[in-house]
Amino acid sequence: MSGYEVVLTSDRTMMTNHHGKEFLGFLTTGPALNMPEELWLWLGAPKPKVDREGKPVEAPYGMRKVEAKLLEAGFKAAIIDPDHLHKHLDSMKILMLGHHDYFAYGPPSSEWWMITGKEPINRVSFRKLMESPTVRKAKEKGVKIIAGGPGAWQWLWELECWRKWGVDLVIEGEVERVIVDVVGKALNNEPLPDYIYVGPRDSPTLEEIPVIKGASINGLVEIMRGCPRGCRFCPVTLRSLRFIPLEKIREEILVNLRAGIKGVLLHSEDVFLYCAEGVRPNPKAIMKLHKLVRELVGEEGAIGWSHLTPSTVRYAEEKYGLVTKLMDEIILTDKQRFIGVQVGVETGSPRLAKLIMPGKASPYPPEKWPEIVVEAFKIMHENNIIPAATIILGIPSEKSEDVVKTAELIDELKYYRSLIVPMFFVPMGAMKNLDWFRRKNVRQEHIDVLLKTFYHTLRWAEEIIDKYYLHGAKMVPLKIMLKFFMKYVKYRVEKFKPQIEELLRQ
Amino acid sequence: MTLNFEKKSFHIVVIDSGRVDYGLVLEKIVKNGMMGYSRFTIHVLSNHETPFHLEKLRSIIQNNIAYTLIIRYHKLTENNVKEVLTEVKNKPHEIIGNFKVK
Repeated sequence: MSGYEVVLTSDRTMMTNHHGKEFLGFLTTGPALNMPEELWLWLGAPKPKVDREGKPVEAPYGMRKVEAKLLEAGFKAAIIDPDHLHKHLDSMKILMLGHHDYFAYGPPSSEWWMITGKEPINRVSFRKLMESPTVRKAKEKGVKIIAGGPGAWQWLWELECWRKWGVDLVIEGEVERVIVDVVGKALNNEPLPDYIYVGPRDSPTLEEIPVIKGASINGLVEIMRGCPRGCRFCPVTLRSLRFIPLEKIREEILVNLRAGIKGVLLHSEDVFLYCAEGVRPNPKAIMKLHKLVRELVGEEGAIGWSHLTPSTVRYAEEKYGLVTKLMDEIILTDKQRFIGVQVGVETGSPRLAKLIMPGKASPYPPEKWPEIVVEAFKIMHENNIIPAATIILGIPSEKSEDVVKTAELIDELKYYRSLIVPMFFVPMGAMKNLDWFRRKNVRQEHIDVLLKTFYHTLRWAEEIIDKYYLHGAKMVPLKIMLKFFMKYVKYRVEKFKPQIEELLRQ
Repeated sequence: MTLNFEKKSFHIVVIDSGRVDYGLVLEKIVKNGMMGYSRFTIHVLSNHETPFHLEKLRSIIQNNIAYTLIIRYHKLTENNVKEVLTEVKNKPHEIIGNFKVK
C-alpha cells in the first residue's frame, strides 16, 4: 500500500491528543479505577484522526523530529497509529518506538501504581501493543525494532520484555545526530549495537534539529532545549542549552496550522527563559515570541505553555510587570480565558531546595524558595494562569521536617487556583544512580502531604472544569465522566483514610 | 560495520568468561574521558544471552551522564574474540578480562 520501510509508532496512551486537553494525559499514567479499561482510555487517550494509511494528523513531537530527520535523509518513513500498523506489514523493515514512560516507572505512573497496587494503563497499553499479532508478525518477518524517547532508560529494568519482544536496539538521549546512521545500517542488515546513550557532547546543534514535517499533538512546538538551572533530579538539565530561532518556531507553527491544529503549545522547561541571559527573563524576546504566535494563530487560537518556574514568574512580574503585560496584551482574548502550565514546586523545604535544586530559586536565594512559590502562585492566580504543580516526595536525604515544610507550603497555596500533583522520587538526571522511593519508606508526613494535595486539587479542579477547562457541548460527556470520577475518588479516599498508611505499606 | 558515529570512539573490550570486574569499565571510561574522549564503544563478549549482558552494565550506564556510550554484544567464542580484537587493533582501546584458547 504505502511502501514505508521505516514505521514509527507508540501505544494508544501516547498516540492521542487527550481531547485537545494536555492535562487529561495524566489519566494515562494511572490504572483504570473502577471502570473498564476502554472507557478509561477514552477519557485520557481517545483515538486520533488518521488518514487512509493510518497516519495520525497529530503525533508526539519527539517522534515528529525523528520522522523529519529520516525524511530529510531520504528514507521512506512515517508515523503510523498503532491500530493501523497491519497496513504496512509488507513494506516495514524497521519499527521504531517512542515513549516517555514505556513501563510506568516514571513519575507519576510509578506513584499511582504504588498507591493503588494496579498497573497503570500506559504500561498495560504498551504491553498490548508489543504483544499484538501485528507486531509479533512483523518480528517474525525480521523487522528490526528500535526503541527510544525519554522513557528509553526503563528498558534496562525490563530485559525479559526486551528479549521476549525482540527489541534490537534501545537509544537514550537526543538522537538527531545518530538516527540516520543507525537506520541506514539497520536497513543494510548490518549489526546494530544493543544500547546507545547519547551524551550531552553529542547533542545536536540548532542546524541539526529539523523542522517537523507533520503536525504535533496539540500544536506543541519546542522553543528551547536544555535548562540552565541544574536541578539534580532532572535529565533535561544535562543537555546543552539551545534557543530555537523564531524562524524555525514560525515554520513549525505553520505546519500545525496547515494540518488544522488551532493552538500552539510552547514547549520549554521554562517558557520565560526563552533567550534569557542566565536565569533572568528577556522581556523583549518573550514578547516578540508571543506576538508572533498570536499573529499566526489569530484571536481564535489558543496559546499554551508547557512549563514555568516560580522564580522566573516572580522575577518577570516584579522587575518588568511582564506576566500582566503578556496576559493582558497578548494571551487573554475573548476566546482564551486562561492558560494552563506545569510548574515544578518539588519541595517546601529550603534545606532540601538548596541541596537538590540550588539554581531553581535563582536569581533569589534558595532559602527563600517557599516564599517565591507563594508569590508566584499569587501572580499566576491574579493573571488567570492555572499551574499544575508537582511535588516530589521521598527525595534521598529528605528528612521528616522537610516533608512537614512541604505540607505547610501546600496550606499556604490553598487560596490560589491550581492543581498539585505529588510524585514519588524516581532516580533520573544527576540522581539516576540513587534509590527509588518505595512503599516501605512511606511515613505519616508523606500521607499528610498526599491528602493535602488531594483535597487542594479536588477543590480547585471542580472550579477549573466548570469555569475554564471543558467548554462546549462536545465536552459535556467528558465533563460528566470526570466529575463522576472525582466524586468516586473522594468517596474512596474518605472511606480508606484511616487505613491509608497501612494500605500503602502492604 | 561500525556506525559513523563510533569513528571517534574509545573502545573497551570486555571478555566476560565468568570473573570480570565490571567496575573496571567505569574506571576506563573515567580515565580515558579525562584524556579527551567523549564516546565509548563497549564490546561485551559474554556467554549470557543478549540483552541480559546489560544487567552487569546497568549501574555503569546509570552512573554515567557525561559520555556517549555504545554497547555491542558478541557471543563469547574464539572467533568472535579474534574478530573484535582485530576490529579494535588500530583504534584506541583497552581490554578487560581474558580468554583461553583451547
